[in-house]
Amino acid sequence: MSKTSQHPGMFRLIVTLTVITLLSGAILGFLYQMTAPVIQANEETRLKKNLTDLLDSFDNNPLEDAFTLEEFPNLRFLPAWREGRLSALAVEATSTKGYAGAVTLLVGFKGTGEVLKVAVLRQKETPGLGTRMTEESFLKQFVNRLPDAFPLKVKKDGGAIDALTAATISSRAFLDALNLAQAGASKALARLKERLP
Amino acid sequence: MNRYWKEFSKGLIHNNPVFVILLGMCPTLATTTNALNGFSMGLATMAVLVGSNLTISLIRKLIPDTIRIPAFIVVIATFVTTIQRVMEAWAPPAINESLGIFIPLIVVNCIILGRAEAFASKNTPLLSVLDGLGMGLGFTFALTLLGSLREILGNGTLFGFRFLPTDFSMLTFILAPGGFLVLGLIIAVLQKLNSKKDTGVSA
Repeated sequence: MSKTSQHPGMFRLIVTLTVITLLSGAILGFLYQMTAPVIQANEETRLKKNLTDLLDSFDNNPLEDAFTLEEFPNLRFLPAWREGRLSALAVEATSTKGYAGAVTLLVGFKGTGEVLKVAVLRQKETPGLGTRMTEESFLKQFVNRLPDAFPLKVKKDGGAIDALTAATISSRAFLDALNLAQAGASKALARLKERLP
Repeated sequence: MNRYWKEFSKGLIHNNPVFVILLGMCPTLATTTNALNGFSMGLATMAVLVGSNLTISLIRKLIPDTIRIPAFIVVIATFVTTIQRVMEAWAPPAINESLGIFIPLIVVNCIILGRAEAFASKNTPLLSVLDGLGMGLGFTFALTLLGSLREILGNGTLFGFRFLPTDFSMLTFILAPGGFLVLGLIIAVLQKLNSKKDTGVSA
C-alpha cells in the first residue's frame, strides 16, 4: 500500500465517504420507486382480505366508498352495503402509543354500533409479548361489545379488559385505537342513517 | 481449486458462525421459533452477506483504512434495506409478517461486519463471495436446525406439518428460555463430537 493511502488527507476521507453514501442513497431511491407500487398493492390486498373476513356479506367495494370525517382526521371509514342498505361499517384506526411505533386496527361495526370483530393491520410490538394482540384469545373479548361499554380500559386502569400479560403498554395502545375507532364509528353511523331513506 | 473449496466449506460446520464462532446470537435466538422462520432469516442474512462481501472486496483498495468501518456499515445497511424492501414487495405475506421486524437487525449482525473486516477487505471478490456463501449456508443450516428442534418440541410440528399429537407441546421451547436451552445443547453435542475427533485432548 502506498504512503498516501495509509495517511490520506482529510479531503480524501470526506470524498470517499460522500461518494459511498451518495451511491447508496441513489440505489435505495431507485429501489424505493420500484417497490413502492407493489408494496402498496400488497397492503390493499391485505385490507380487502381483512374486510371480507370482518364484515357480513356486501356487494359494494368498501375501499372505493371509503370516506373520512372532519372531526376524526386519522380515521378511515369503509362502509359495506348490501342491496342498497348499510350492512356494516369498518374503521381503520391508528394509535401512536404503541411500545414500538404505531398500532393500526381494522374494526368492524354493525349498523347498531356493536363491535363485529377486530383485526390488527399493522404493529411492531415486542415479539412474543405485544404481538400476541393479533391472537384470537385476545381479540375475542371485543366481539359484540355494545357502544355504551366504551371507552374500554384494561383492568389495571380500572376497566374490564384483560390486558396481554407483560404487555400493558401494547394493550393500552390497542384500546386507544379501538376507542378512537368506536367514537368515530358512532358519529359516522349517525351520519349514514340521516342520509338513509 | 483447493483454496476455493476451503474458503467455502469452512463456514458450514468447522467454523460455523452460530455453533462455533458464536456470532449473531440476537437474530439466532429471536427468529428460530419455527423452522420456516429460521430458514428464511438464514437466507436473508446469506443474501446480505454475499452482497456485502462482494461489494466490499471490490472497493477494498479504494477505501482509506481510517474510514473503512463507516464505509462497510453503509454498504451493509444498503443491502439490508434492499432485502427489506424486496421482501415487503415479493415475499409471502406470512413470512414478511413474522420476520419483518427482524430484518433491520441484520445490519448489526456481527457475522456480516465480521466477515467484511476479517475476510472481504483482504481477499479477492471470488474468494469473498465463496466465504459469504459458506458462512451464509452455515448460518442458515444452524438457524434451520435450531428452529426445527424448537418447533418439534414446542409445537409438535415441522415446517408446519404436524406429526406429533396436539397435546404434545412444551411451549417453553418456543419462548426465549427454550431457545437458549436448545442452542446450548446443540453446542454441547458438537463440542463432544469435536473433542472425540481431536485425540489427546481431554474433555
